[in-house]
Amino acid sequence: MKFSLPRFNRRRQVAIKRVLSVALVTISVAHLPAVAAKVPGIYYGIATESSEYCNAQVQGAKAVADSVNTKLNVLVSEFQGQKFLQDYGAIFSAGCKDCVAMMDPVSNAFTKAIVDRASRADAKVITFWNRPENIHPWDTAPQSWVAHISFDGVDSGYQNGMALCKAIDGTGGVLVLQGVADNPPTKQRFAGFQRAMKECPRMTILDNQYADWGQTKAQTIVRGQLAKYGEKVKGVFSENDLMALGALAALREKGLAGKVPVTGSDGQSDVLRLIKSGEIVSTMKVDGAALGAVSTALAYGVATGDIDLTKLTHAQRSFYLKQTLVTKANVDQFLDKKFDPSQFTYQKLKGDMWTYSSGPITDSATK
Amino acid sequence: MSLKITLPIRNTGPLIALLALVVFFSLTGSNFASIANLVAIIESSAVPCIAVVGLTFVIVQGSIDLSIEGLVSLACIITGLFVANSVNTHDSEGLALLLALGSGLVLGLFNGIVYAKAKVPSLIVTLGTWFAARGLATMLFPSMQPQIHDVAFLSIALNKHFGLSGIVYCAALIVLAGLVVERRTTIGRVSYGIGGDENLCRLGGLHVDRMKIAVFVFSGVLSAVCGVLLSAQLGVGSSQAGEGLLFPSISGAVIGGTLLSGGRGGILQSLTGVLILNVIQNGLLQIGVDPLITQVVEGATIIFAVIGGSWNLREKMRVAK
Repeated sequence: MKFSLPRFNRRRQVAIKRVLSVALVTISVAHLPAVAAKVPGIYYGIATESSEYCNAQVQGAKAVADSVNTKLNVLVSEFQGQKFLQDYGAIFSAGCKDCVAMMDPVSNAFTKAIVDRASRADAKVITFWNRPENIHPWDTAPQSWVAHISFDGVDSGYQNGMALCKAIDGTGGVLVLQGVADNPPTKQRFAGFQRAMKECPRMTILDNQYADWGQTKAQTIVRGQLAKYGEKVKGVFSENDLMALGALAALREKGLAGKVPVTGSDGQSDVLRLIKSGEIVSTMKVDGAALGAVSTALAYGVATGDIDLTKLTHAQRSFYLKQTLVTKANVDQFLDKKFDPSQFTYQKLKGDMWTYSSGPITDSATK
Repeated sequence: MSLKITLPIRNTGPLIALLALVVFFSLTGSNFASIANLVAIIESSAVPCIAVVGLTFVIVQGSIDLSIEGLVSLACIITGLFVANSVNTHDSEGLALLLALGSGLVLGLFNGIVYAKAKVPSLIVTLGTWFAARGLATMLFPSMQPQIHDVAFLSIALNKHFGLSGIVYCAALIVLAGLVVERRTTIGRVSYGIGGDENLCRLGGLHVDRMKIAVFVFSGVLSAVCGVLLSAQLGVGSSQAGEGLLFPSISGAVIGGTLLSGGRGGILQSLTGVLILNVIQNGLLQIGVDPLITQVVEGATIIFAVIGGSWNLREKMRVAK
């Protein structure tokens, strides 16, 4: 069936066809991205979606991905390294040259395996938190493993330890709640706390238990510890905020909330409010959004050639991000702070990828 | 004439094992037998005991409910979002309870119907419900954990009556109610029949499918009750509150003598098993076992407790070969 315009004169027919053509092209172009994506995919891995810190990472990563017009794919490990090994393995085995992947491998045991798979696929990968001390991006998969990023657990343990020391006037027995036994953050934060104890020699450890980073488990453990030690408990050092909240819940049951100081780490909003109210002494605020944004931008920059991986120093490939100890003195700066995606675009970070870096990771920190 | 004393549970092995553990830890741990510590054990056991009451009926029928953790987490976050909290302006205990318990009821009903009517194995359907409920709980998580501000609601965990919180009394009431259902109602008695020989029950004209659905609803609602109580205990709405509750519930039931093959055991047996696990965990803490080997020692203690407590039942323990 042939389409024909109504009976207009020839000049008008041509004009109408031109207008229709321009309209069709405009409509189709309007649905195209302003700039085509330069990498096949951006894959950001988090532990769980039920975490403020993990959600902040996704916000940061998405800000970068949106600024380069690329879809952010979020993968969730549910704290199982095996799941990430399978998920990322599937992505890499399907062909992923120059795609960009960032994740916490959950355990040291999975780091090299994930990096190896990325290397075979020519993907660019950045890892967080968990890395065996004997392997590094530059000596294991120099072309694929762009960087390893973390937050200084020793500094967190030390600063929170000193805050606890001050809160108990330098004297007394404290309970220690650690994460998972073989985790680098667990070992680092405890090493930092032990350094604080050297400067605060009359602060002693009454009991030390692993609560697997969990709130409920921490509450059960501290309940038992309070029954065992009673009034000897002068403080609680917790390696993360969730366990601190669990400890606080156990203290509340005994009417001790606000009387026995508690420290945490991560900087969750609810903990910041409890610092304001005085029930928690301190936490180390780690910027999840910065982690998400910096890692995504760095990996993207390498994948697109904006950054020459061979020219990066070790300090630029294995580094800590800045963190801040939050106490009652400075908590107001952090309460209700809103995320601003304009601060985390690729274009903004490209100027200095390491603006949020606080220095290189030192492997001997826990020794 | 001889006076025969019948203990309320047939197999007293696990009970003896529990008492033996209590004696052992009392002798080796200076504070184990203190009132404060016994209260701590009871408080820590309350929520798992509630979960195991519902689970017992399911297991006695020869099926399994793996969805406990998901349902608990879902109910906990729902509660946290609808009582007065730090992330939104909701302030309705009634609505919170309705939605939280309703979620347990609906998902329990789903489990029961799919299992009984669609004949999908209970392990599979409840596994799916577990993941689905956990996913729903994650979806509801509002980017930061809601802190509960409702003082009246929190008082159920914080206010003590004769040294125990309201959560313990809730658990006691639920256990009593469960015992009444188990021993005085048709559904309780028929559950054993279903676990022992389901075909015989059907041939006898019993409404087997309805009984199956009912116990899954019961388990679902009790899981939701656990979630509500955990939100009061923790003081937050947590979408991960149920993590780690499945193992002590199922293993507690089995250790106490409620067999996974069905037809044997009961609420008292399951409670004994839950208490054994909590006593072991608390006792190892009290005697100062190195935390790095705590799990090894826990596992070994469980094995020896079960061997010692169920020696005479070992041929009848059709758990696994």
